[in-house]
Amino acid sequence: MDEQEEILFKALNSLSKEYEKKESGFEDEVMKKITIEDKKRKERKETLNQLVITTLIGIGMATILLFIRYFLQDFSLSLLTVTNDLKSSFSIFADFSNNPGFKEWIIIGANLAFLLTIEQIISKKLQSKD
Amino acid sequence: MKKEEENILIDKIKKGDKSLFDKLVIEYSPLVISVIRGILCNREDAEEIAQDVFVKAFFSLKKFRGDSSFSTWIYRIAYNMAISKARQKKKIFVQIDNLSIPDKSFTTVEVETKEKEIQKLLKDILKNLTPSDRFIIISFYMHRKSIAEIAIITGLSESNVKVRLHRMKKKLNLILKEKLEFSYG
Repeated sequence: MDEQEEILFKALNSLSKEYEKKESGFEDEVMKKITIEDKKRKERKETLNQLVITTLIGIGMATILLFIRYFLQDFSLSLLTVTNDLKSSFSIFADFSNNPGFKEWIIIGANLAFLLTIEQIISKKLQSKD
Repeated sequence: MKKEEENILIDKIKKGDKSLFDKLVIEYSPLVISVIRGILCNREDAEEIAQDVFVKAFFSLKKFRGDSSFSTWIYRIAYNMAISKARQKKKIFVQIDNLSIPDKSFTTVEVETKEKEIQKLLKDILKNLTPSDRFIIISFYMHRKSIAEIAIITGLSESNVKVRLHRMKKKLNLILKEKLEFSYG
């Protein structure tokens, strides 16, 4: 260490004590912030899980309803041929969606999904109140 | 705290004993606060960001594999958070070569000790440096970090850190010498 460095080491060391000063309760404040953040993260994860579950249930419901219609009302699903061609898949879906009654069933499925979401939100609110 | 003790503590926290984290906070808060304060030159902001650094460290602890020491790891988090805060503030800094001697001089006989005068002068000089230059000075001279460690933390090359450190050392010493000789003859 040369003389120049020694001067700087000494000078900056004298500053370090001042720089390290903290208010009392710093640790408590950190732990409090961690608890709050932990709660927030858990809630976020829970909401995301519920959203995924609700969406899956919604999709499942819509599919079941379409199949019920197919079996009970002689609704043809022959257009849903398995194909690797994405373009034709889209056109198949477009044809499929033009079938009478398709929209109604989608609306019923979406309504069910919506109701399930509302139910989840309300139950979550009630849980957090408890 | 010994490294083995620290590793055991970290393992316990990772396994779910969250309450032990405050031991790490007690151990490293002076270091974290001083590095952030050094970069930002503001005590209130420094404490606030230091708290956020520990919160971030707590939730990222799973990613800590122990390749580097916990001290280096948390130092890096503190550096990144303080630098991004400094960028938000958008203060204009000067390069070390263009740094002028602060106007305030010690020509008058003041009650302050020589040490306090040096401290004041250094603070004034540091305030005008760029946050990353301040960080290099503080971590090298105040926290005794090696050039290799500083390079890892800042993402700069070791030669770049060396060059910057050398230039700053030269300039700081020049200012200090000029000022102190002027003050004390």
